[in-house]
Order: sequence, then C-alpha cells, then structure tokens
Amino acid sequence: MSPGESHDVVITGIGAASPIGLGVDAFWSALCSGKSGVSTVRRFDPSPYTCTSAAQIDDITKSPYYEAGHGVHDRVTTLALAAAAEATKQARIQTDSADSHDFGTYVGTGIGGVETHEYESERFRTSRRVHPAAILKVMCNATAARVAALYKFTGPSVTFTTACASGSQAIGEAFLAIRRGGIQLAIAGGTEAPLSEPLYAGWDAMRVMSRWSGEAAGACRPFSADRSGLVLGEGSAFVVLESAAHAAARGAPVLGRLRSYATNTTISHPTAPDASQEARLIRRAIEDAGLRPEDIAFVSAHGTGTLANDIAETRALHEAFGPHARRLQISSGKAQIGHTLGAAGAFGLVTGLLAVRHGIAPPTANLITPDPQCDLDYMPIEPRPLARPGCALINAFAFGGTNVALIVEPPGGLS
Amino acid sequence: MNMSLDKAEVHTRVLEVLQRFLTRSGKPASIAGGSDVRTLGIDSLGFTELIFDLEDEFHVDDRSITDDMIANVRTVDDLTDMVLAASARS
Repeated sequence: MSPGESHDVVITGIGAASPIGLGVDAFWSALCSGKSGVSTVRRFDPSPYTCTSAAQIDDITKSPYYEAGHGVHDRVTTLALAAAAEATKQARIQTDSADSHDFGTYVGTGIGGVETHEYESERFRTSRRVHPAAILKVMCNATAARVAALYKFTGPSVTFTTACASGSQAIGEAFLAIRRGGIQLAIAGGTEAPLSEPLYAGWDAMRVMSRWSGEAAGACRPFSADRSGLVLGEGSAFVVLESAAHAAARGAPVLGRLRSYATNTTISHPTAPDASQEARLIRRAIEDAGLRPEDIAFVSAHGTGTLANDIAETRALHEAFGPHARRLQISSGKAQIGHTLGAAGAFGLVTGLLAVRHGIAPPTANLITPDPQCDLDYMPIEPRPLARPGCALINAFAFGGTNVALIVEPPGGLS
Repeated sequence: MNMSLDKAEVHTRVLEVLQRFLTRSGKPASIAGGSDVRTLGIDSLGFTELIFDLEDEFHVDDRSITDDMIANVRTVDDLTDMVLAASARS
C-alpha cells in the first residue's frame, strides 16, 4: 500500500454492549423488537430531578465478550473492552501480527471516566486523598490506551472528544487514515458511561431531559408530537475497519463497506442545531462517496427526542435529499438505548450496517403520534423490510457544533 | 497514632492486601513473608497503588510512608516493617 492512493475501506467486525443487549445479535434483535433499555435510574436516587430515567446496563460481566483480568478501569473502558472484544473476535484479529504498527485505535468518548472522577472527588472531600490510578482511569484517552495495549496495536492511538459526535468522528477519522494509506486496519468506535449523579444533574439543569411522567420505557419519544426530551444511556460500540486489500489478503469476513465520512461545524450556537449546516454535511457525504441521494435507503437518525433536534433533522433531510427524502426509511434507536453521547454514532453505524445487510429497517419505538412537522417515514413502532437495497446514512449532531455523517454500503454493493 | 498494632496481625493483613491487589491486577500468586515483591509483576505504578491500599487498610497518613521507605522494600516482611514504622510516625 502506498500513500497517495485511495483505498476502499471495509468493515470486518462489529461489537456492541448496550442497555438492550450485550453483543451485536442481542442488540439487533432487541432493537427490531422495540425492547426498551430505559428504566428508572438505579445508580442513585433520581427523585430530585425532572428526569428520573436512563438506559442502563445492569451487569457488563454477563456479556459473552467480557473478560476479567484486564486490570481495573473506569466503567467507560470496561464497556468498551466488551464491545471491542466482540468486534476483534469477529474480524479474526491476530494480536501478535507483524504488521500491527499499521493498526490504529480510534476511540470516541464525550466525557471519559466520570464515575471515577465522581468517586475520587468524594474521597478527596472526605479524606484529602486520591487514588494513584485515578488520573489514568479518568483521562479521556484511557480507553484507547487500554484497547491498543490489549490488542498490541502500535499504530496511532487517538481519542476524539466531540460530545455526541465522538464515536462517529473516531470511526470517520479511522476511515480517512485507511483510505489515504496511512494505516491498514483500525479498531474504531465510541464508549460512554455518563450516569454519574453530578453530571446527570448538569444535564437536568439544561432542561433538555425527558419530562415524561408515564412508564420509564416511554420516556424518549423521537419525532413524536408528545416528545418529552432526551434520556441518557450508557454503552459502547466498535467496528474493525480495514483496507479491502488487507481484508482480502487475510481472508477476513467483509460485513460492509464504509463509503463516506463528512464533518462540519455549527458555529451559531453551542446547542441549537442548524438545519442548513446539517443538510450541507449530508450532501457532502453523499457527493464524496460518488453516490446519488437515491442510493441512500436507510437513515440512522441522530433523533434525540428533543424538539430542536427533531425539527432541524427533518428539515435537513428534506433539504439534502429533496423529493427522495420521502422515500427514506429513518429511525432513531435512542428511544430504546437512550442518548449514549460519545457512543451514539458508533451505535448508529452498527445499526445502519445491520439494516442494509439484513434489508430491515428497525423501528423508532414510542412513535405513536408523529409530530406533523416531522413529516418523513420515521418507522413508527414496527420494523419493516427496506423497500429497496441501498446504503445507510448515519447522522450525529453534537453539542459544541460538531456534525458528522457516515455512509455504509452492504457487502454486495448497491446492485 | 496507632502504637497498638501487633506485628503478626499486621503481617497477616499485609498478605491479605497484597493478595487482593494481585488478584485485582490479574496476577494472582502464592506469597509468603519472604516473597520478593519485585518478582510479582508489580510495576512502579502498581506499587504506588499497593502502598495506597496499605495506607487505607492501616489508616496510615500518606506522608508517613516516605519514598526512602518504599525504596528499601524487597520482601513482604519489609512491607510489614514499613507499615509498622509508618504507623509509629502517624
């Protein structure tokens, strides 16, 4: 491989540790069934807050991919190790590979080891002592460092902290590095464990959290007239990306092809989305891939269930796709797994890949009464077969203004 | 200050703390008083964590265990003596 060439980038492994299932099969099955991972917060007493719900993973040690004995980490890294283990196992990564200097680690996390930060802050307040490993658990690149060391990847180890776009950005930058010939293979994804009470209180203070007073499972209602705000979630998703030539040479399974990554920035406001900027991003992603709008069949929406996002994302899809927007099948998994922040885009890519691989669009749970302003096919309640083969677009729009779009193609191409 | 620590009891608890630390680190080992702690796969960072655990276990002020005391530790028995000395200083 020589720099300067453009290389096809394929996906050879995927992994997920989510509130609705540990492992990709469990995640996909639960996603399509509409199962909710949202329940009353158990980590602390949520009664002082407007929102009392979150999508939580009860016991990560029950993941078939969880391995004990890799040391003590913050929860954000523990979740990532389970997802990364699944992805690398499926991709049949040889961890002692001689070319591992061409293997990179790309991780997105919005906030890093906040549970450790909370715990150690409390210890400091009571005893003026902090554990000597605290810094190494809290720092945002702790997960990337651990994943790289575990799989003996000595190429770049990079962490992206762009709030809710972090996971998408990590995957996108890994894609670029492979496409440009800088590396041959990457483990890339996102992870978040944001259910630390002080942080939760901060989200609550922003008044963007769900005010739903019914059952917790209904708390996040993207694109609904009775939407109530976002619900936080925890989890991790990873993919193995590699050049098509590298995958073919080692006989790795090709699950799909990553076609495009585009990113831009909304500068008008740190939290308010800009539909025109989002539309520009989507068009750029489609054009960079050499695709037409009609080649997109499914959209894994950012779909947070906030009024501002739902309206802006709908406008952006109209603006970017024109008449084709009404033929898109679009859904948001956040109704079921909550907003996993730095992991959200990685879950979006796993969802988009599985949708185009299986020819099934998963539903948007809780979408019983569509918002008339969200006048696209947001896949209410039930999954449906994709009306035609095509690619999936994955949207991620972050606080701070970072926007990321990814496009993934099924393994057999578009024919 | 804690002058009432019994050496045999301290030794037993040091072994327990060390055993828990090694298990948590994924490096379980059979250890005794004469075991050389430098051969247990504990790196310099790990050693700071072990010292922290011992400070917690024996409620020893962290300034009572000096770098010189840590540098002189070779065996589990040395750890016991270090805790007793630090306890006397606390």
